[in-house]
Amino acid sequence: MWALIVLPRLFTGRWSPEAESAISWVGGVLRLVFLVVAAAAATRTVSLLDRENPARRSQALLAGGFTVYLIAQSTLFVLTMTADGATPYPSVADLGFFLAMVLLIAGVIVGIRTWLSLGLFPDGGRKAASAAVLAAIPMAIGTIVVVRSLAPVELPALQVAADITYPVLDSILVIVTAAMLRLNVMMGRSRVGVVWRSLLIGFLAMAAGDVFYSFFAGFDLDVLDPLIDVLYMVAYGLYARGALLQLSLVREG
Amino acid sequence: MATATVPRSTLVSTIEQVAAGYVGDLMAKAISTAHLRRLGIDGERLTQANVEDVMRSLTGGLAVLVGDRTASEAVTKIRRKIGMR
Repeated sequence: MWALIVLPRLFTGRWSPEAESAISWVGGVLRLVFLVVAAAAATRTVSLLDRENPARRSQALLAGGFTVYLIAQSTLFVLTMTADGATPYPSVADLGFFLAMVLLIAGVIVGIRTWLSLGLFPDGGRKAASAAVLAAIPMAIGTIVVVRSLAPVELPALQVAADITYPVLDSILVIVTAAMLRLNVMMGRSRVGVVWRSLLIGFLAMAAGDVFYSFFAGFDLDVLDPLIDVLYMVAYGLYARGALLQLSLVREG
Repeated sequence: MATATVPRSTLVSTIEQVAAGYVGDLMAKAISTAHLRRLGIDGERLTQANVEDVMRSLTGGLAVLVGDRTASEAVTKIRRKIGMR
């Protein structure tokens, strides 16, 4: 259904204000629902792990990341719906998004270290490092392109800072996610494999949404807004799915 | 009275079989041998004490990937399959 709404807009570039508003509402509410589920399930998962379990730290960081995302997204939703004109940017919501991304990045890094400490991944350290390097090349180029696209435009200092912070954090998130995804591939279609793949692909979708947003905002290409909405929705949906599957796996015993 | 022993191959294949559902075939194979290697158990037949050590080590390792409850449940399945309490 979402595709039926979004695709015509992508091809024609036309969109009625009513439909735009409806998409914004539905999209905003769905994102919040997904984040509530992800934050609640991830927090419950942490509570089911023993204090001595080395996986607890990375799970706690991810749960914290989802929770802060939920707070930031709720704040943005209120700001968007109550704004008289354009939504303020950057706002206090963006601070929340930055903190959430830092928590997710830390969660993934700690998760990789915990997995590698098990000594179960054949040549795991080298494979993860190679994947990180492969991801770093396009992300570095993309970040430079986004940052350079901002240079000729006269923008308030805070907005420039936010426009630079997003792609930098997204790049780091993509790089560490690529490393963990490389290890995750070795788990095939197993239950642990599916849980983490869902979360990791969610991180990639979110980073893609941020990069599209930052890049196309500079060119005033609002025709791509629905695509960005869909990417965020897919990302948050995958967080919710991954967190629920994780909870189901952990509470099984 | 002779102490009951478990063939190494039986233990390894049982661990692989149970763990594969949670972590996949490749990781299950790695898990099944890694814990024996780490504990320095290289005999073809394992004593009850050897098996206990492996189960304890396996529970800790699996807990990182699947959580403590599920790891404990998986190890109980392995014990049952190899005929241990």
